[in-house]
Amino acid sequence: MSSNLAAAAALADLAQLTLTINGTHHDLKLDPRTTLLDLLRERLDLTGTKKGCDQGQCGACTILVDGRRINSCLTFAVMYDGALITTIEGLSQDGTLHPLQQAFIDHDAFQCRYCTPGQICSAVGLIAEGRARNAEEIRELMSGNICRRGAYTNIVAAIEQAMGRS
Amino acid sequence: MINFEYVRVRDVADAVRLIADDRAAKFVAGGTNLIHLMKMDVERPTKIIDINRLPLNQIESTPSCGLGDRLVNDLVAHVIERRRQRVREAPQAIGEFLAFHFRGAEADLAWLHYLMREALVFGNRPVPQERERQEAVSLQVQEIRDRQAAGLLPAELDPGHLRLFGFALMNYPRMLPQITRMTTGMAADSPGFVANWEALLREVGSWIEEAARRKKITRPNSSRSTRKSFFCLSPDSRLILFREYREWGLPDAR
Repeated sequence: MSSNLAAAAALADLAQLTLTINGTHHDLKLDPRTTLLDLLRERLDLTGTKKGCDQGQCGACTILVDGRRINSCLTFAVMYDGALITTIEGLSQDGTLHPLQQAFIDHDAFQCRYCTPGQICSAVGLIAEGRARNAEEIRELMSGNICRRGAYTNIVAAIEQAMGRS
Repeated sequence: MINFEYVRVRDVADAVRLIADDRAAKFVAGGTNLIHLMKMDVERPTKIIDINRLPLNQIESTPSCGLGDRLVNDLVAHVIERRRQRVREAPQAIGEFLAFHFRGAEADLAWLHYLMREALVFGNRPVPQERERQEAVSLQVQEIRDRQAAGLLPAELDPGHLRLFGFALMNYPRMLPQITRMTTGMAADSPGFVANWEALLREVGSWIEEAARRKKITRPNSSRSTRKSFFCLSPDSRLILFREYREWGLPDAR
């Protein structure tokens, strides 16, 4: 009985929200402590978004919310009720790779690839911001995404290609 | 991470009320700092107030302080409006007047804490929105002038100084709760202490009114330097002061 009551109380504490993720509408009930990252990976099986440090330092969990890049590990999903979310899984269109995905392949912009989904989502956000004009600015504005194998040279080259500057 | 209640606010007044009502509540906007600390169990809020949907995501220039931001502007406007309201509602008699403002300041605890931090950061330099805030302060000094004119406060004393005296009486226990606890053995926010302090303020108010009636308080001549007024003291007082200075190891008063 008491465990039923506890379960009922826990259920009452769940937060309701709707999210559109990669074009698919989701009605969700969540513990408000659930980060956007854990929601994507653990509830929705969208494991393309990676959990690196889980404290906002590595950028592996970068996704796009309403077109802006954020660290999904440092946000509660409930804060984004009604938002449009794009993850690495949602970038290609009709079987065609996103220009940045293609550019990363063209420039071999990875080694172990763990940071790549975050790098690519971050680069999509970077290009949308329109602030980077040269390689130096790309490096500065991509500094939230760490590659522990140091593939930066090729990552910057790939982003320059996607910006139409290769 | 401990569980928390999640609240999304739609207007600034709600946000201010919720944060003021609950010491365990925190605002979240981006969350990159707060959520990290919550994961580490450093921050343990039981209520999260999401301010992302407030119309406060702009930074704009204002004529008064150069770079302002609307959150601070709105908060200050809110505080100033409450000051105006309290000035309108304050009882005339000095004891009741002090008790009224002491009681009212409880709703402004967050503002009081802000003032303390601001004092540490700005020292004696101009503070944000100083011009707007100066208006509210002037109203509070006017409150004093009105009561001087009514014969309730000694007319010879500077109204600004009197206002500061009142501010100290009304806010000191809450600004320094540790001193209040160590001195009285009571928590500054406990009902017992609040009742005692209000009673004391009423008593002090009646002394001041009495003094105003007797007109015994004389205004020191502010144009004289400290040294001159020191030598205006009686020879006995001077001797006592000299002795004190020597005991403190301070340089000779001359």
